[in-house]
Amino acid sequence: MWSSVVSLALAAALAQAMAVQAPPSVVVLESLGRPVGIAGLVDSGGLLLAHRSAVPQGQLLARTLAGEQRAVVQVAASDEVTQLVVLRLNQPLPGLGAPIKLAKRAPTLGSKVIAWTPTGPQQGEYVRGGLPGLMKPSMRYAPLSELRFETSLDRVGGALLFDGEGHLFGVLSATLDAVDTVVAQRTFAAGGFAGGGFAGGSQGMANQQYGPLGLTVAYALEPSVLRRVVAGFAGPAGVVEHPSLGVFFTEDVQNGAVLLERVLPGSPAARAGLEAGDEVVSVDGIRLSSAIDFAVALFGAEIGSTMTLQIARRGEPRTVALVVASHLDFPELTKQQRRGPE
Amino acid sequence: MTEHERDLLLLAAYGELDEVDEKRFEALLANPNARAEYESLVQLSQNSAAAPEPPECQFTTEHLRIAILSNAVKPSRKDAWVLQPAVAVLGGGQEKPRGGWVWTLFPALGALACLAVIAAVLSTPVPTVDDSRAAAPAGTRIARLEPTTPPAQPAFELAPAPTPIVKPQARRKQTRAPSAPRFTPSTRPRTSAPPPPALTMVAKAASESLVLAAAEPGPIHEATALSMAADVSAMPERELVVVSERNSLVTGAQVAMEVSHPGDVVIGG
Repeated sequence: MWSSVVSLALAAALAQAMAVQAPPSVVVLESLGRPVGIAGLVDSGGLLLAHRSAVPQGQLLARTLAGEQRAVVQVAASDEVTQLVVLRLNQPLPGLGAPIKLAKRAPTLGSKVIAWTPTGPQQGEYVRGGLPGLMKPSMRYAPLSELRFETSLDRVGGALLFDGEGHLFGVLSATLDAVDTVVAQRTFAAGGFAGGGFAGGSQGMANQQYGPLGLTVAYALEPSVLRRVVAGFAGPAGVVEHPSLGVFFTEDVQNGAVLLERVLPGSPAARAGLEAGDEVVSVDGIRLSSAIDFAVALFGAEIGSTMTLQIARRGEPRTVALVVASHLDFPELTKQQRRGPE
Repeated sequence: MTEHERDLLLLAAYGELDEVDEKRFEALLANPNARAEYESLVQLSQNSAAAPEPPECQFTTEHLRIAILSNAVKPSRKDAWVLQPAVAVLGGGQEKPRGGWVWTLFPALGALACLAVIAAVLSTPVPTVDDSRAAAPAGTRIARLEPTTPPAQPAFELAPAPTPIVKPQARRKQTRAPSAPRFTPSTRPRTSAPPPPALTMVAKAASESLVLAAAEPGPIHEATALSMAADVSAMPERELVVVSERNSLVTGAQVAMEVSHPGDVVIGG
């Protein structure tokens, strides 16, 4: 009980301290009179950035953190890869300030960050960046940041993440499934007893039972992804495009070779003559050591640029040049292929 | 789902169903929960089969025990303590005798006893750790013990000849008939999945624990503990965070899982 009181007092103190620095361009999304998510103004044209998990079906209202007035918002566009959406205000919202500044780089490791949730700010720690992520249902790569909150967070999906300078550096997309196992692992490594053991599937399980504070491990899209998404939404077409060759690939468990598992018809890869079963050896002269390397190279490619692949087909080396296309040219990339761990 | 039904799914996942249970298994798959459970068990069996082999030093606890003991009894002959009896003699001589000259004999007798013990220890052949083991490949750091002088009778039974390491797979081959394989690959479409998080967790915990053990003074030689930790941490591990489509009921965010073997997933691009 006392720990709960202390936690609430700390949260209230943090909220009070942050009230002065509260970004005036952050709005709380409400549905049926309850706060369900949070969004931030990222464009002077009135576009609000949010995560799909914070945008339920039905009518949505937005209000500023300090204001009482509300305005109706609706989804204007979405990105299937990152699950980010933009909302458009149907009417002016009093008190809404200038657009939020995006961070140019990720925070330094170990620095404190603020996550704005519908219920207020939460202080966390930036643990590491550049973590390879696989985003479902698109099955595409995206670099992620890992954050840790030394508390149990409720309804934190889609929280806006700000660094110490007040710049938006990410949107909280996901949380580790087995929150309890992380705490259990720490306890086990320290020679202690892990309480509930290595129980998987912590849905609905209060993680306070494994420690006095609890722990929430969260993942957010890197600033580079955020900038690409915001630029796409705010661009003339209003859509986000990701570079693509139209392939699905995997990694040989035995030797780490990158193998093409499927080549979409009509894609740059198909036009270049690539086939399923081909081994991708290098990209632009840089040798690949894993499938993640290939995914990173694809993620960083420019749409319209030429990419040179050295492949091996049944041991025979070949070199092919491909023009990188947009992932929007291949709806199959986001809809049909949904293999992978669930 | 009953325990019996669960056992049935387990047998099916490992390809050990007989004809009688086959029909009951087919009927059981009509239950969506049972089907989901079966698929997870199939994934578990596949991941278990594809799990990397542990280093050889972890096959049996006996090899670990030998490795630890061989380092724990590593002799440390420091010449400094040889001088302690002389210091004791000098100290006893300078102290003013209270009970007469008889009491001054005790430090001298103690010094003589220490010298006798030193002579006995120095004359006893002690095992030494062969430095050539450092060149052995990782995972085979079993100490080879040799006496400095060939004694007629070994000082103690601590240095048996290294027994050949038999991998568990080889043992299974000896005890199982090759015509009756235990695991029959399922014909169901393969759904890739990460290895059970417990495996990664245990590996990490073991690594951290061994590093902690190396940092603490104790009978375990630091080099042994560190090499064991290196063997554990040397297992290939590249994390990939898979962000699922479903949302967590607790946090509302998408559910993420850390996959230690990205080779099990298909990436689009």
